[in-house]
Amino acid sequence: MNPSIPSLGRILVGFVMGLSVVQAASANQSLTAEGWYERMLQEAPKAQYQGIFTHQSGGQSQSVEIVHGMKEGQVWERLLHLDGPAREVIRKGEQLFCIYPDARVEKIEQPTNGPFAAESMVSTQQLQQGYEFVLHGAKRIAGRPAVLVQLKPKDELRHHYLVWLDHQTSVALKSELVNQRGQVLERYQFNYFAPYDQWNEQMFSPRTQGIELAFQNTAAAAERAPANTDTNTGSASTAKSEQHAETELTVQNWKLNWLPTGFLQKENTQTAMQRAHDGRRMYSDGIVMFSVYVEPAHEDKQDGLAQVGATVLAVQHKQWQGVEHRITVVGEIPQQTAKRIAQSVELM
Amino acid sequence: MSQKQNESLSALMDGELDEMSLHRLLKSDDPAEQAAVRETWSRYHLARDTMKGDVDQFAGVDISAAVSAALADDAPLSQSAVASATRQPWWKPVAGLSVAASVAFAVVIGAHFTQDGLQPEQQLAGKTEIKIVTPEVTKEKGPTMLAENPVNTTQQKELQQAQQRLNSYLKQHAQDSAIGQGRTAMPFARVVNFETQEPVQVPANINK
Repeated sequence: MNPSIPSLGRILVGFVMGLSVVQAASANQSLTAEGWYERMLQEAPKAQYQGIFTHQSGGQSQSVEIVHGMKEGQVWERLLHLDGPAREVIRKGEQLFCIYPDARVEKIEQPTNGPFAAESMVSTQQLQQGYEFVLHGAKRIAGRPAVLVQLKPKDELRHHYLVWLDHQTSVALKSELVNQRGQVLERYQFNYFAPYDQWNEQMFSPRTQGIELAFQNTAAAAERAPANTDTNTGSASTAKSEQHAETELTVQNWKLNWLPTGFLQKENTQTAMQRAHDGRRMYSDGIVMFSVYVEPAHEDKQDGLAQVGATVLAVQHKQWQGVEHRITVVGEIPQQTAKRIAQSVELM
Repeated sequence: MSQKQNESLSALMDGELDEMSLHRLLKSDDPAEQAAVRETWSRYHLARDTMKGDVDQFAGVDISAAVSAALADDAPLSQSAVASATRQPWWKPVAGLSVAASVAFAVVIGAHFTQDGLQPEQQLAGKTEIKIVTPEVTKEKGPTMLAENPVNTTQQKELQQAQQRLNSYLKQHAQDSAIGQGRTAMPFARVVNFETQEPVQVPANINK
């Protein structure tokens, strides 16, 4: 197996150290860049706010309305796309639904052990392997005082990440993924941001007419899930990929011979859909992720690179036991990094 | 060649040259300078491939003249041909997946080269990219040389499959990153966008 898979102990150590940073930081008024970042991880999910943000990527831009809150330890959120066809995302804790313009509803499957909880374990310790934290003083975003935390790549294998944090709530008011030549690849930015005090469940109801979402009460029920078969295209694609896995079982095992510093394999974000597709793995450095797909290629054997906004796709082919295999790397990483990862895949 | 041009070429090889600089690099009217740029480009590639141990029988083979000649021989493309070409893009781009990238893929298939070292790696998706990379192709020459001739229907089907597969990977990745990121559903803006956005179309009247 992959030697770079982290031990749970290593994650936990990072987590505990991260916590102590937060505790030290909250005692101190003048936070470091790391302190601000940790404060965002801890505080932002608990904040109550609504607003409008713009998402820009690859020459495209769109405005999205957002309502965010927390109830009984679970994040509630509603996103509504304001430009073009109305699309909505409604989230309650780990249950998440996408509503498309044709009223089609897709339930996004969540892993049982909770990626939202897991992600708060991303510590500055892990991030510091790949990035240097730089704090830039007083900024102003969406009419609000903010600080800019820059995560500066320590090597040429990843992009810059910049995040502007709201003074009051620690919510990211703006974030950018910038390549090492200074081009902004993707940007999220609030144009309007307003914390609220009064919790109102109505704020989280879909704006799309006639939609009822099958939210379940417990995480266990959510796991048993695709009960709402009428609305669930997710289950359809799961079935498809299971079938796919049955016919494509020739990929026995594979490993990456090269993994950029600071990236760890994400075991706990595996959805049922992913597990069904054995040739698929995800890696994260705490800021961005990349996915690696390995499968036999019976046709379509050309290599190549393509870019969609911040996301790069690298396709590479390799022979294994006389069978051509296709390796696809998808992620928010530089093209050269993606290519090198793809080339490093060793079939076993 | 100036130091600036050398740096630009080097950046282009890394797929990281910005639009303005690329224009500047390609704009030169001086044939001698153009030749110098071409030569440096080949040399850089050869050097890189050599370092990586990728040198093969194609090293040193310059197909640029043949490609230019083929383009020049191509009949001007009528409006209807452009329309049909844009209606059924080859490697149909989703969510701003650049047409430039699809053309690059098509070139690779059409020429039966499977080494992506032969294509300049395109940076940054989106409409700006199309303006830079494909003016000769879309403006009047049409995609015929690159596309129709060397590719039969089986290959077209394969391309469609490739496109579908890449799209689904793209969406799945965006979805899982958004979940994995976790603090807010904001990254779902990306997912929902991939799902619903119209493919980028090449305007027929595209000009430099």
